[in-house]
Amino acid sequence: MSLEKTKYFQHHFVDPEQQYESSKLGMWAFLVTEVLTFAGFFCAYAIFRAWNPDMFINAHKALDVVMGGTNTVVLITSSLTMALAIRYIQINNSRAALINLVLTLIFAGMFLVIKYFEYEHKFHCGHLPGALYNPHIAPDCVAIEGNNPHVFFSIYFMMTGLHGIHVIAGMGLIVWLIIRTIKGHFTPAYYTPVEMVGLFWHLVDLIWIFLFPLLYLIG
Amino acid sequence: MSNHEHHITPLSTYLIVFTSLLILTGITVFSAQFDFGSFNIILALMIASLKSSLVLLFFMHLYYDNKINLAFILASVIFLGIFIGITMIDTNYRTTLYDVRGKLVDDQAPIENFKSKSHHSDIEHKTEH
Amino acid sequence: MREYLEKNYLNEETTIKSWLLTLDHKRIGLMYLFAIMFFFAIGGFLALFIRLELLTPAGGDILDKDTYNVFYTLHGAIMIFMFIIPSIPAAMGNLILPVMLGTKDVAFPRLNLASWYIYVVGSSIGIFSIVSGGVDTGWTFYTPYSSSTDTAVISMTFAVLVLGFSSIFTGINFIVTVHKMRAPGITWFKMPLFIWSLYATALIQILATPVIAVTMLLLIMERTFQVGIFDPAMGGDPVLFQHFFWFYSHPAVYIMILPGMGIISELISTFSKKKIFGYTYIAASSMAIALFGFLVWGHHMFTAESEFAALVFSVITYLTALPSGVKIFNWLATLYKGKISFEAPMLYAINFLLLFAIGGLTGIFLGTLSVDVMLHDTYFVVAHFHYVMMGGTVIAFLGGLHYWWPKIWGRMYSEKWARVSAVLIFFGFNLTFIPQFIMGSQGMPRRYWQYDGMLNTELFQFYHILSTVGSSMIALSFLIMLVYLLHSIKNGKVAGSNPWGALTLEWQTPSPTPAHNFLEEPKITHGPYAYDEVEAERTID
Repeated sequence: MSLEKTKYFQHHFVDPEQQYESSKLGMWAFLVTEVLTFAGFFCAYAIFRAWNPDMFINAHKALDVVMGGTNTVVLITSSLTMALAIRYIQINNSRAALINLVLTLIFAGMFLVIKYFEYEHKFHCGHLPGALYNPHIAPDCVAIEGNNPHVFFSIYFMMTGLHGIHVIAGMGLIVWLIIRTIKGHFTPAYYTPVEMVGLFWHLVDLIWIFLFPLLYLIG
Repeated sequence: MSNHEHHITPLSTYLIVFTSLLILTGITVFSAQFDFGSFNIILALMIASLKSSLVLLFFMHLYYDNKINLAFILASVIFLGIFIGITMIDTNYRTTLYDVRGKLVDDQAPIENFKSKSHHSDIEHKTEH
Repeated sequence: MREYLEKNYLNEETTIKSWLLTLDHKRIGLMYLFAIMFFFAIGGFLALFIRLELLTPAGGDILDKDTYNVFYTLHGAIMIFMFIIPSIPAAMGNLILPVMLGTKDVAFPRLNLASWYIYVVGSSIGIFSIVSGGVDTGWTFYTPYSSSTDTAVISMTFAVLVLGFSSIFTGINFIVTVHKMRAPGITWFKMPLFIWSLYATALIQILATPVIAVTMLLLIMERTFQVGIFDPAMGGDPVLFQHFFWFYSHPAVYIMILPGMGIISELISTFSKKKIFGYTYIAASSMAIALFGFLVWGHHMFTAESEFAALVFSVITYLTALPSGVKIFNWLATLYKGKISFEAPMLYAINFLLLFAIGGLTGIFLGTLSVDVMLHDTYFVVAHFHYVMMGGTVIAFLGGLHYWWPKIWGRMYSEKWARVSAVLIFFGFNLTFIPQFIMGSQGMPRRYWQYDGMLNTELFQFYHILSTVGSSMIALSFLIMLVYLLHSIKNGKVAGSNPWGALTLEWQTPSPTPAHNFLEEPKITHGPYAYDEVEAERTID
């Protein structure tokens, strides 16, 4: 069935192809705004790191590379399953698409769980942003030398926090896609929402690809 | 009107990209053990850029798409660079002082708050040119 | 044809629900128009109070010092975020852009409606902030004062954050519409220049606005959790806030002026019945202004940043003047040997040329490092930005409003009263702000509630009185405008499809515009300014 005859064709467009290409460009324009949103935080990171290079190197040791690395692998895998979900809809295999969407959701959840444990450890050690910084030197907590270590944690929590909010938003969107896939809304002729959410999800992965080395692997 | 055929990426392409991403992640973690001085961050960013290029071009389909989409995201990265780069022209040169004729007087004028003591203690204060 | 289209976008459906849930870009544009004019009025009243207070050097004539601080902060914040940034793009752009491109609607009508509701929510949060006592930091919210003052900073900055999303969604919509939905025959270089200007503006909107959102978020974090990135006692940097703030707010001024320049291109060509001179250069200059606008934000911080950075920013600021100069010369060349007529829209266009030129040139004085050290935070700066923002954007907005008014309502306003208003605004505006240039250069600081005890107090008072008289002339001209415009909606002369004899596509469809923009598929047979090839019939004598 051609898209025009489905209820998903919007009549201010000339044809479905124009609708599809427009949706794509619109989503890319939105991703531009996301990049510039995180740009502010990357700028703060760059400046405070340039001013306090030794403190940053010390402070990053308080982060767990294993957990961060695992999260990186988790997100990359979720990107794969997201891309596969789109591919399976394109070749009319709704069931495989659904499985991949659910897998993506599970990986996203895993990311948040690992993040929760990381945050919990930070709270335990008092490695908190700004005025809340209150280091407890416990055996499993790293002592941080250098000027103003709370600055590192301000940046850490704000960047990973904002990123985490995007993960949660992405999970909500994926749930929406799962429901619609079960209802059979998506066909090879119309899968635009899946692709748009996919683009958003890949951006979430992209941001983490930069956050991980900058926060966890310095020095 | 018939639907224009959209490009369907082969499964093998996705799997190759996925494997490459994992390998690159491994490389970046492994190389973090070594200290290359100021090259550390450049190396980390280069690997991250390579990973993100793979995600952008293949997972996000930019390799096969209308190039305008690629232009938009590249522009955003350029502007990110402008933002950080030009701001650092201020923040990295806070200590430079010029006289009224525009001649450099001192590039290590004392400003206490923003120096990590161990970083600059071995640099001599320059006076006049 | 000269008739009033009976079934049009205004009366297609008449229920409240059909307006509140509309997907018609023209209805959305109209709703924006009413909203922004409402906030313009509020911002204007705040200005009148400020001007009254400044009639005498002593403070406390009508406002105490804290209230005075709140008034100028709210005047700035409301005018900028709730009026001027959405004004031309969201109101006029929504009303006109799809029609000019020969298409039925913008790319994402639901996103368009969402952007209006986000604007309403953001503005409401702003009103909440005002009712909670307002903010006293100046519209620039500089730290450390803004991170420590007791006033309603968090709600106002949150309002700005939300309003930013409205702007972003408008930008996304326009970018995609221009890229993907032009009617066949309208190539990139056959688009009207108003569209080029809206496109360049939309690019700025998506690239710059996210940064103000982050900046406001960081300020909220600073106030709530004391994260310390702007606090020197905690290793932070207050100037960093300024970098973040101006990285958006400088490009924001180009969001304000570029659409205005686009309107001027339309007006000058239509009212000289002449092809616009140097179309490609004007289009290219819009893009160049958009690009350069991102590189000069530090010129707001000359006294705060490192000298080296100040040098760099000053040089680039000079370069930024060039593309605007290109436009001015091209407009003048268009006027030369044109068949000029002086209807109200053209009076506004001529106003613009003079006022924007003054505003732009005084920007060069401010871009000169050594001069700026003296002029920073004086009334010279205040006069400069009012010349470009009000003498530029608002005048262009009014020109566009008068130009497209017959298309929006199908009726003409009183030409006589429109000319009275346009002339009155010109004189009132200059009387208000030229004294401010002089005062500023003699040292009158901005944001001061009292100015007694200074060396030049008597001189300042003289100029302040002139300025206040001028501001009342501006107020009067807006009052006159309100009356004749509202009157024309029901009682104006029927305009017909093309009262000006213009050649862009919106004039080839009846007035008021049909609900789906065109009754028959528009045929593009000539360029938008082809006055040398085609003569369009005016539907009004």
